[in-house]
Amino acid sequence: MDSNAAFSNHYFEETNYSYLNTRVRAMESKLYKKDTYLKLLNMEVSQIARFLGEGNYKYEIEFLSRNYKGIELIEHSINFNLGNTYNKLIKISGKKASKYAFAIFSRWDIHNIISILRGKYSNSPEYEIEKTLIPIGELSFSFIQSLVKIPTYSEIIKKLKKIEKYEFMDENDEIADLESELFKTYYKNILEKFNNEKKSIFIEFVRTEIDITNIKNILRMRRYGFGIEEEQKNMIEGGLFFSIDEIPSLLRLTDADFLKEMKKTPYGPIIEKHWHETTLFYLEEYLEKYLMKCAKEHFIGDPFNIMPILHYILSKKIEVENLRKISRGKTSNLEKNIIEDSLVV
Amino acid sequence: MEQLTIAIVVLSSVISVIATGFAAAWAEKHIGSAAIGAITEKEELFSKGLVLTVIPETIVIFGLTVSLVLLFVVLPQLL
Repeated sequence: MDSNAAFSNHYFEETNYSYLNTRVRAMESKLYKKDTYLKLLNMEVSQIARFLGEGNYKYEIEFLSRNYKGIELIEHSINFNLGNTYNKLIKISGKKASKYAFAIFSRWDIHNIISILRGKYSNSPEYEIEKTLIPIGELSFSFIQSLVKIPTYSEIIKKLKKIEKYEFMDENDEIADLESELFKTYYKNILEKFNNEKKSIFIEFVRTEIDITNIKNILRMRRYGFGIEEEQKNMIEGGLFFSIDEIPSLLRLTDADFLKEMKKTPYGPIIEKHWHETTLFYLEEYLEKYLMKCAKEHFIGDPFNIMPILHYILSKKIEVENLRKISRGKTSNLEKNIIEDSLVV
Repeated sequence: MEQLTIAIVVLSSVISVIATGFAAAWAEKHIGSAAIGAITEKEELFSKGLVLTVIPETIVIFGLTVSLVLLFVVLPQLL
């Protein structure tokens, strides 16, 4: 069985947004805030694991502490917690809201597949690959785990090709190409699936996400150079403010003209503010935050829609990423301020 | 003519209770399910949730008051 059983297992037939959104808001209020991250920065890895075990990650830490210790325990626990939280969201969403949640969660299939392929490509041991997997997505986690046990990169792709959604994969392709192809297909599937809801805020959100992914790629290519092949491979169709046909010209504009073009979009002020920085890190981070803000603004406007759930999905993902950065940073003895700078709060 | 006025007063009294009853039920449906959602995640919100859930009951009390005024103040004057 390749598909995730949770995806067809709802507690409720109908979506009750009053119930769902308040519950999700209550869940969101339990997420860690900035002061908690600052506290964690002063702790050792074992203390972080204990802190998580006393809080929101109690179940996962207790369950996994028999098999793992230290950083391994934290990594596995936060991944499992993310999966458990998302599966719980699906269960409480009801049919209407869960179709949106499914669409978003199918991105984790791509995350898992890419993690496995990258791991196999670089000959990483199975336990290292397993550490990066998140038990959520359309594919069942047992199927994902079975992929880890397959010895070679090409055999994994052969197995994936048997699934209709991944028929396009080719074992001769470079991993980077496969990655961008997977994301392109993911967005294409969402836009096709919700084709009749072109003006819905969910689709607007997805198209904003496409814009931000495209802008990130454009900025990287402008800064570090690019080939024509790369240009075609990396861009995703369906953005909100600029279509795929406009991208080649955006890549070739002078800096001043590019900024002028960007100012016509809501991303302009962010790009302008961080344009002269040496790295793209903060710019990319602020673009991500803009996406979060979009979800939040829509939520304030109308509490009876899917946006609070999307906002929570993003916030939870950010929490897990922050915890991962802190625990990895601590393990590799990085300075406190470097770890702190990398956190999204 | 007088009988028609009496009928309208009685009907208004009935409508005020029924309409406010439905309005309170609709509001309580949403507030109640929202409260349950919040309490499921945070048990300490029980008392706040309970208070908020019963607030729409005031709408029915207004409706009932209007209905009683119509029946026991306005109606006797017409009879």
